[in-house]
Amino acid sequence: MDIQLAWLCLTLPLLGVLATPLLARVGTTVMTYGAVFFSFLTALSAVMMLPLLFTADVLPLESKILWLSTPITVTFGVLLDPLSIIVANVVAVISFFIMVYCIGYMKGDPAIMRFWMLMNAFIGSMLLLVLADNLIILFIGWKLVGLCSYGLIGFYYRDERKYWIGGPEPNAYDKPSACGVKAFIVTSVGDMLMLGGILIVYFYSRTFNILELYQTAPQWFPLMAETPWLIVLVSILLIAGPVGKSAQFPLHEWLPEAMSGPGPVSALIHAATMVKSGVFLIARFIPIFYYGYWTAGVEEAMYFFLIVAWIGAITAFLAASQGLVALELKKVLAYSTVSQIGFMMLAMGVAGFSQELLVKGYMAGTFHLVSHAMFKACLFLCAGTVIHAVHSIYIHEMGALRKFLPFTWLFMGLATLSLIGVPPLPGFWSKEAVLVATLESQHYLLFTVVIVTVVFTAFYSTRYFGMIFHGQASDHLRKETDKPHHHVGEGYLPQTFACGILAVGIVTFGLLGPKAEHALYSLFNTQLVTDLGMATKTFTPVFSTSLVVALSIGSVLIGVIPAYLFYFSRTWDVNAVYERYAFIRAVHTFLWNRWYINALFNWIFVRGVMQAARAVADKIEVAVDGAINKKIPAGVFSVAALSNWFDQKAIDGVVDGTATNFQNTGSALSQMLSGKIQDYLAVAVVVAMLVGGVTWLMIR
Amino acid sequence: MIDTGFPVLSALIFFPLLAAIGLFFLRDERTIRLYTLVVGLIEMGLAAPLFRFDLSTAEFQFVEIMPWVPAWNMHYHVGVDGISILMIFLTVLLLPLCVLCSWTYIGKRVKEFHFCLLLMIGACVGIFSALDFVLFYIFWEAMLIPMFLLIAVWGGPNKRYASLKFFIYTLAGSTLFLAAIVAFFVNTGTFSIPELMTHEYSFRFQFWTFLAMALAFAIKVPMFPFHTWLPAAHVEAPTAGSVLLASILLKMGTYGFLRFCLPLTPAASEYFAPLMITISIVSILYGGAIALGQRDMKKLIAYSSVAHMGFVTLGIFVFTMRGVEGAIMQMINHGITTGALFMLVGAIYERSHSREIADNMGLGKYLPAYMFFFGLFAIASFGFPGTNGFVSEALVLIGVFEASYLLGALAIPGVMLAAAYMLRLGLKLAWGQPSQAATWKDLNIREWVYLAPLAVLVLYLGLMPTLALKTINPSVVHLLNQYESRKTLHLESSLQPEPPVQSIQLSATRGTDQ
Repeated sequence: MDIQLAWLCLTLPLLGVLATPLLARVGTTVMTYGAVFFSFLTALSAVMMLPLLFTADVLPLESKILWLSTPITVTFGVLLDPLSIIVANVVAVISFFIMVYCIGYMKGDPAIMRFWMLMNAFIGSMLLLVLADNLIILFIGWKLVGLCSYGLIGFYYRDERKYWIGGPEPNAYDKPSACGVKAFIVTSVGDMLMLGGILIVYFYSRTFNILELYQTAPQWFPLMAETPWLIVLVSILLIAGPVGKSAQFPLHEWLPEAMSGPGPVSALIHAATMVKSGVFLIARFIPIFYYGYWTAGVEEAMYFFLIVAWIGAITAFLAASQGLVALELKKVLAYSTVSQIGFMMLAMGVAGFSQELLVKGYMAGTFHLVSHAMFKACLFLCAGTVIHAVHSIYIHEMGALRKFLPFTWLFMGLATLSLIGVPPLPGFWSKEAVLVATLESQHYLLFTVVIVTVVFTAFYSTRYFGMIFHGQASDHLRKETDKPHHHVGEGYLPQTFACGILAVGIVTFGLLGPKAEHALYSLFNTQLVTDLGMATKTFTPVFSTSLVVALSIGSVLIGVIPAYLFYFSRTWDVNAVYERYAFIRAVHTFLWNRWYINALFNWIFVRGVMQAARAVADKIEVAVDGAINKKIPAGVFSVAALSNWFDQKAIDGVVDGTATNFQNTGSALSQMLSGKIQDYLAVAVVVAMLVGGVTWLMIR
Repeated sequence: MIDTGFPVLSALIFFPLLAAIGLFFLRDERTIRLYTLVVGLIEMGLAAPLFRFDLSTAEFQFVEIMPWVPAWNMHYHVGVDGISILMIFLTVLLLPLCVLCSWTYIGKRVKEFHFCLLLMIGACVGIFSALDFVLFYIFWEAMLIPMFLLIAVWGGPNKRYASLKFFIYTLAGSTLFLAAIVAFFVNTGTFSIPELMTHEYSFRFQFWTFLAMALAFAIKVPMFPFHTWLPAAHVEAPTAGSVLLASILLKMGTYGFLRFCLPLTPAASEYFAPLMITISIVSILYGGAIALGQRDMKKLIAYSSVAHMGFVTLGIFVFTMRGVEGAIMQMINHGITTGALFMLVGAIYERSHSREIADNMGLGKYLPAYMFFFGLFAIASFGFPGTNGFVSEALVLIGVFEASYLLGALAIPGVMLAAAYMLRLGLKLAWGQPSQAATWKDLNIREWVYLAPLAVLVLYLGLMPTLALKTINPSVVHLLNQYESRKTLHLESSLQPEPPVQSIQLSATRGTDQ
């Protein structure tokens, strides 16, 4: 029965997609509740898989049917192991609450049917990705979530002015449809590279099945290692997919623009679920490369972990620094998401650095994934409510909202505290786990980067929270509240309800934090060590826990205190500081322009490629084609003209000439004397000899 | 072999031709269209016996053989195997769809148009089923003339140039192909393709005949330096012409590679494989790059065809089972998706009277059904998982990676380019500004009818490709086994003097095998 639950998780959302247009015939309300009901059933089946975790010795469970037999065997199956069960639950449960929120948020939208279909399709594809037992099916799910994400980012594809993001004036705006394309193309780059990596792995292992890949690694991994640098290449290719999907450096630039979708979509796809699939996939690959380095002794396999860890650290720092200056609420949260996923990547990378850290890092990455999914989903949902209420996407057009949105203030506050890493909220525990793993790896540079990022995180979190809910109301807000029937207040009941549930979940999970950490640790210990037989060593901490806690809390305080003074109590004046120091202004410009990475990529890959393509099309293709079309016919026609000349003048000339001679016998002599006919005759003879000679040569 | 007693293939070939004569007795345009539509449906019905195709054997099935010109050892010899049967199905399916998509598009000389259409279909089925070299060549050339007329009579403003270019390019290739046919005949004394496959030829002979045939096929595919006729022809051709051109005609080149080059000249195929692979990859990347820079919808799709067909030839010339099967699937899938895309371009042309992307922007709001179909075929075209394009592209890529992962790495950017240009086109069409589409009507029932079957096929072949793959599998396995055993010449046979030549000596062509 247990494995059937996994199948249910795949079929229920699909049924939801198919049922939506039918239910729409009955009525919009029926359709809405129908779609949410399917999502509820999905979440229910996912939750019912949780007991499996307590009997972890029966895992992994696999069930598959044959999809393709010739010319290649591809099964369509589901795989249940601790990782997939945990991530599937994160996806299904959080998406259910987000669907509940959408009942209120999307009320009255004319394209609501498309919205529900896409949402259910997304949930189904995401679960397909998570539960797939082989890389091809996983890749199918991987691309499908990309397509749904594209559809939902570009949901307001009519590009009405109010849905533009970017700005404020005089900065450029982005339109939703363009943002969807950007997301799709940037992630596609990663996907295609990853497909290449999967195919190279297939070439050596002859299987796509994940469990078989683990089990047969002793055969194929050393084989692959015989080609120098191949492991490094495969590592880069395989990491490229997760880097694209999880918006990591250098493919991170699509996520801020992905905020043009409806608020709950950002919560679901671009915070809680889809962007986590990269981390999930890295976790899937870890056993292979871990085996390669620590058991098979392939030196190059370490590059996989190094690349992942460094990409994670760089992204965490880069994105957090951009979050310091952003003015759009959802963009701040987007940068924060990118940065937090960097933490998870870092933990996953660190897992391979030593034998002691495998389970620790693996656990830390997954733990942070779960807790981040909860509090970031809550943050985005609250952000959606706030933006709806205020009619502005900019945090500097808010302020002092606490009295208008008391519940949202509470829920968003809890989630923000969790993001900052205040005990005992889940963000604190999971960040702690990441910090411990990083510090124990004794890569102090990585650790420094992470600590700085923690400071940044604390600063920007306090900043946006203060700017939204505290201080004085902005001019824009005052204008809004002065309207006779203003909407500045809590949203519909389902919205508040969903945020509330998530907030309760955050607190509960936070209180259970150390227990959850311990449980996850033993789960992954079972999965990685007992089942897969990874060669690990028992973890003996070098640094004491209190040191890490002290460092963590200390850096949080360093970030929070100035932000509090700037944005809560407003004792310090931000604008004064900004005006006074040229250095701050320069840094601000640099960060505001996202380190100029976006502009650079745009310049190279969009404008550059398009111009190159157009140049190739116009200059090479048309020019060469034109030249060929002129030269070859010209050549042929000149040959034709030549033969025509022969024909007319030489051969026909003889005939005509003769005829003329017969007609004008009188002038025959004079013609002969003029020498024309001799010429013709001579030419005719030569030609005849040539033709005859060639013919003779050929016949011989 | 299956002896059905009913000559299925002959019926499929000659029924359209006979039906074409019937057109002469009709006057009314509407009657003519209805008549041709009915003929197309009957033709589809006639293809039904082909479903009894035996999936377990690689032999030719539904074979019909009778003497034709006994003195020259020519036979009327037709039959199908796994490689050709799917193409025949596709051809037959396209006839009614082409009639429907020309319903309002073609306004002048309606009778002649449908006459050409029927001739085309008959000849195309003939090409895919002929097992006699002369018969094949006759159909090969016979198909040229209706196609030429389709472009030259019902084409766009630049139709004379395009039709001539098409004709001359193709003819130049076929003359070389004819030389190869004659050379084979001189060498063996038979035109029968199955019989020719059992012979072994000296390397020099293979070298020259391969070159001659490959050039003909490369022009038809078209591969990189010979591709310029395609955009010109596509841009000028009427919708039905473009559909047939993209869906069927291009496949004849790759079909030729599979049917003739690999079995008849295995050693030369092996020898030239690096060249063919290079050209294929250049086709993929170059075609993709140019497609990205196009402003004309039809040109864009035409160049995308160059890139997609590059995948087919790439799959063929890596000589792995998955590569070849992927290539055959890609032939079918490209036929379906590109055909459908051309139909969609034709449909929008009827509304906007322009093929420029800039004149057809912003359809998403006003023509949602149109954009749904366009989106579906566009994502199928760049191989999105769940559509047919993914199955074939993934198989080709797997085959290529099996041969060499460096080659695979070279092909991957082609897939990215495909996504880029197709998305660019789709998005401009859907959401580009400014939009003039406010007054245009969405798809009518007729357009639904001819797009829906293709959409169903896209999803069917994407989700359940097993049946199609099982159909082609035995033939491909057989083909590759034959190829593997014969790609290195057996020493004694290659050292022997040429096989005895039959009574007719065409010395002039012997230059090819010396």
